[in-house]
Amino acid sequence: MNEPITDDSPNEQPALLAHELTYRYHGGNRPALDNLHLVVPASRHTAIIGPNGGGKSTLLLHLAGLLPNRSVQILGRPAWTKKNLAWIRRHIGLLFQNPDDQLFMPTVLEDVAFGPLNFDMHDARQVAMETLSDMELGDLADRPPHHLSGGEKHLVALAAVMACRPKILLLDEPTAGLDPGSRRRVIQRLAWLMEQSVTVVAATHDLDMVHELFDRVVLLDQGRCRADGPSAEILANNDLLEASNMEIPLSVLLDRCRKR
Amino acid sequence: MHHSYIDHLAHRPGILQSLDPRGKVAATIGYVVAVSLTPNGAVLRLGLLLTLLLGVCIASSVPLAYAAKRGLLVLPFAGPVALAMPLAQPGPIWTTIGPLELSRPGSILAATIITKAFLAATALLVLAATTRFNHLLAALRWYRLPDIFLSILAFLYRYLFIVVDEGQRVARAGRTRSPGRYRRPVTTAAAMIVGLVRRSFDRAQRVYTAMLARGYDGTTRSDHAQPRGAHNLVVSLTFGVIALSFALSPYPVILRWTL
Repeated sequence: MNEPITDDSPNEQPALLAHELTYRYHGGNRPALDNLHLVVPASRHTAIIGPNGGGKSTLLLHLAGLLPNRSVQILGRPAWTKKNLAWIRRHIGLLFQNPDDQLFMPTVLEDVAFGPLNFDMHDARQVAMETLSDMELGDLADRPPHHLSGGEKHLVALAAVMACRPKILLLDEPTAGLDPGSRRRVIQRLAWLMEQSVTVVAATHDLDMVHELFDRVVLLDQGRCRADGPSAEILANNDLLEASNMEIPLSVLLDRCRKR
Repeated sequence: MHHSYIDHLAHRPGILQSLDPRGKVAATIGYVVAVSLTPNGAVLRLGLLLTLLLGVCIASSVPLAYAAKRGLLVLPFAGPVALAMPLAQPGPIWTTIGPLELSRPGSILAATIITKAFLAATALLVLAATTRFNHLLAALRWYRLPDIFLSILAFLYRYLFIVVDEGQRVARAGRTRSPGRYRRPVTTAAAMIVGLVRRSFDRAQRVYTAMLARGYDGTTRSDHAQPRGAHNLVVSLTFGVIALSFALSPYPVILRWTL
């Protein structure tokens, strides 16, 4: 197993910390997360990869404070007291895998303004409109979410999270089900966010995106951390990836060919 | 998936579509009150109310067949009550069907009940069809309807389509694996319904989690733009007042004509 990246600079406060995190769903025959130790420094962008059922989405729910657990600290605060949870949710954004779970208001604009209103942001409606315009979604503002295509829903869901201006952005399959153009827009937007000092953690099967954007990869399998290290190393390790039902992404293979 | 959206006529040009939703709500309530206060057997008055509704439908590009079909949906509810009236109401016999003797006042009452239910239901459906749903919610919010009630309405409207989508997908999946058999056994249909209910329950939990993630703490905060201008509101409120006064004021003798 690769050595886990715990912290680049010892003085830096970890953005997210899971220490010996174990979680079992009601009726589950094995733990969804099994004694997991993970440190996410604020300065690094982390991709969580792994096979289906590996525990990626469950881990994100813990890191967002939505499954409160004593083993998790978020931005230095324990993630199980009510007082902390309200503060934590103000600073963490979570994009859900299925946008239909996330878009519940009658119109796109109201949905994007939902978070800013709850967080008492100044001029929430304006913030929502600006976020939509930034993502070239301004013309959808007045549409009901059920009138949108799957890709549009996905982008609007991302806008709804970004409108809350989070310090940490957790993404569950941010590019799943998108056409190539929309996928590119999401990747560009994430690259922009990374430049704006937002810590991005993404659970994904899109290893090409991981290769392009993320400097660190955590491989989760059966709720355990099988590998944790620089993305260039892990994405090039065929044996490791194959053992977890994955394969080396095409972009890594192309890089290899170019170098030859 | 194909859906017939409740507000799919809201984008057509027409009088109702151009009015302020708050005024439309007031006018519709006025109309429904006028219908409900119409005396038993007041044919001319019911005819006038029907003509008013027809006129509004035509001026608002609402297909009459569409309005009539939707209005008839009220029959399963009003029908049984109305059908009992010719037998239950005492009075002179109007006609006999086999052993059943139908009284004249009871038959008139039955016809009045069905007509009134049809008119009221059609008016409400025309309002919903010609007003964008979020505008309708904004209007109801303006009338200070409880937030929790409006939230339930909004969720119902939003997730109804998803449940219908899922239902259609399940039905389609069932059809592809049963070629030529379009009549589903009751047990299969029951299993599908149970599956849908369970999925809806799971989804409700995921939606709630998504709400928590964006700071929901049990209070619905809103920052809704008020619909349209004051002038428009006054014009459409006037419709409501006219309809209400039509119901409440002493009306001309000619309108008193009953069967």
